[in-house]
Amino acid sequence: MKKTGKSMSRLFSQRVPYLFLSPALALLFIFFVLPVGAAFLMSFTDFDLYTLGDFGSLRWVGFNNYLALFQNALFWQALQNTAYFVLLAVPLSIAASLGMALALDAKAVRLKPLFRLGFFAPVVTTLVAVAVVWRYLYHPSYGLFNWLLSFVGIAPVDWLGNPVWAMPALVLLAVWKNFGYNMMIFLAGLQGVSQDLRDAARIDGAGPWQEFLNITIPQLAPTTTFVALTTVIGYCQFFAEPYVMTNGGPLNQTMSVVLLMYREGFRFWKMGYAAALAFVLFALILGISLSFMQVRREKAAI
Amino acid sequence: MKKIIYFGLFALLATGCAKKVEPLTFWAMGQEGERVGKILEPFLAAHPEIHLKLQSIPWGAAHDKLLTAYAGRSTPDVCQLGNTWVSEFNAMKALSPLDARVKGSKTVKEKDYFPGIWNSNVLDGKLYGIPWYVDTRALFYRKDLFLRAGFDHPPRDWKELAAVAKALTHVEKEKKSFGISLPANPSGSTIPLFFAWQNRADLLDPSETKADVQTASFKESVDYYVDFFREGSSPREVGGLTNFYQAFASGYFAMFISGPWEVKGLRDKVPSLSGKWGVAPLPPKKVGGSRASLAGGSSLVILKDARHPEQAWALIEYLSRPEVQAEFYQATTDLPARISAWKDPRLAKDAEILAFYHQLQQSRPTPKLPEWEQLADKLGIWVEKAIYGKVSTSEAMAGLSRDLDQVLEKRRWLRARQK
Repeated sequence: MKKTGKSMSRLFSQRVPYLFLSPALALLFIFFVLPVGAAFLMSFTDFDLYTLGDFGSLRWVGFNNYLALFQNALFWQALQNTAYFVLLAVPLSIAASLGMALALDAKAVRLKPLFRLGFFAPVVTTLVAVAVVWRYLYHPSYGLFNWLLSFVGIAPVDWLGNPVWAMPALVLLAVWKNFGYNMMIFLAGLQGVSQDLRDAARIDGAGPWQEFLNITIPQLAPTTTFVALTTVIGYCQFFAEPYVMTNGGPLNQTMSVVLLMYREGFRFWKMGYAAALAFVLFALILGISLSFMQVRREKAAI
Repeated sequence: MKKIIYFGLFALLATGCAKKVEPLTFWAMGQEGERVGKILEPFLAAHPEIHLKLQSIPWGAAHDKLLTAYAGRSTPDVCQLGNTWVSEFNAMKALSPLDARVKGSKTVKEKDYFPGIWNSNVLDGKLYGIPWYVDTRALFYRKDLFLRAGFDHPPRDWKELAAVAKALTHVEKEKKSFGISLPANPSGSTIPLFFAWQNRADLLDPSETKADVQTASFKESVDYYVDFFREGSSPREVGGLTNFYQAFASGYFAMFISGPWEVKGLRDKVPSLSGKWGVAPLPPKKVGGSRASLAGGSSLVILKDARHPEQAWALIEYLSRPEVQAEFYQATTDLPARISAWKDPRLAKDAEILAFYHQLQQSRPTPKLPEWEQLADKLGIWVEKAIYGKVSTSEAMAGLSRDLDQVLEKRRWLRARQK
């Protein structure tokens, strides 16, 4: 009797946490695990417009969606474009965020709250509204950028219509739009840099540059890892900028993987194909994140 | 306690009411959605039993939203549908056939509609939509610039169109200007197809399950389109067109191919240009040949899951009356689908609008396949590659043919299964 009571109470004590967790777990299951599982199954079928009308036309196609995807030149181009965007925008974005955070952290700067607000404002502005303004900034004949370039004698560039310049134009927009968020995180990180270390460095005769290299950068390492990882993951899912600014053009030079997925899925309703694309992107992002963590861990071990 | 009883009664009443007034839902797009409410006022006054819930959807979001609504079984009773979408929604079995209703109708008469447009709603011998308004593409041109360059009439054939486009292009001067502005990006993809139609070529073979774009005449037509860019008569830029009417008014380009909505746009946005521009049907390849253009516009459809199909049909019949069509033209400048509505002096005495009437006689629908959006996208992508000189026209057509066949794979499979 006593024994069963004891095991009962142990079971109870083990159950209670799950009981409390169950609402969250149920939500997670219904809104995450289930749809993701369904999408995974779907990626092995040819679910499309015809299937919506007649479920009997659904075919199990095995890995055909994945094979077709790897044979699709547009997919490789989208992948290349996304990689180009990430490689260009992530360093620029982090540099801009760190630079602005350092500037705002400097003691000489006044009106800090005002600048903070100003730099953060693009983050909370809707991209669609921003896009309207930026389309005018990039306008080949009336745009601000071309007007500024005309002073240094550079001929007008059709930013969004030129296959070479369209992506850098979007990079600039994305960096401007997003740097404020990481700037805030860097600002918080900078608060955590111990004043003792700075004082010690100065006593040892370090100049501002040496202090930055040997104190600020290493002390900010955890913050930088976090910022870099979230930015890479976010930029891998690059979508809204080309969607509203160029619709993937010209010549598909701004077609990103997620934009391609959106078009295949919601414009052409090739759901099976789009689901396959989603899982390929998921695998890629997972791979990048894991290798990122690995590098970080190895560095930490050294 | 009393309060609770009152509350209970109120709740009962409220739910009772809610059941009775289950509304007739009507989705319309863009400016049609914004303006049709006023047109429907007399209809609603005559039918107190109908509680209309009108929802206006922006055009850009309409296609995706409708697809999603159908997938989620939350479609409206009656809906405006772009002509080219009818087959897509029919393939999903989302539409209800209208043949029996038309047969018993005193208002809707097939003979009073433009044949190309009516035909775009007929699939496998069954009618699924009633044309609401029509549109087609015609040539807009600057009369004054034409005269200055020595042309006193709109182009009469392909050769003349290319010649005038070239004559009106000036790149050497300080201020650049172009003869014509044609779309280089995939969204403008259907214009090359018009040239192909005029040249007796088509995108697909008669079975509509295989591409047919590698013929000499199709290639010739695409070449004709791409040559406007190769010769520099049309700008390639996308960004330059953010201020389209201003660019036309300032003489940045002297011609463009577009639909009837631009007539109102030009009149409203650049009134100073009045009298200096005109509209003409597309020029044929050779004088007397086909002037084929797109038979576009919107139809009204009744969804299969409609809860009030009778009310929906009454609404469609009302909007199809010739006098209501003329009034709708007044409100939106959407061209009436009914030929008898064109007798209204507001249309019959308007030279620019009348050009579209003539163009409509020769317009034809795009292939009526649910895959149309994808096919159009592929055409645009390959034409764009040719425009930017990445591939030759032959290579582009070989690539297009391969892509189209891939898109149509399921259609071929379904066809084979039926047999």
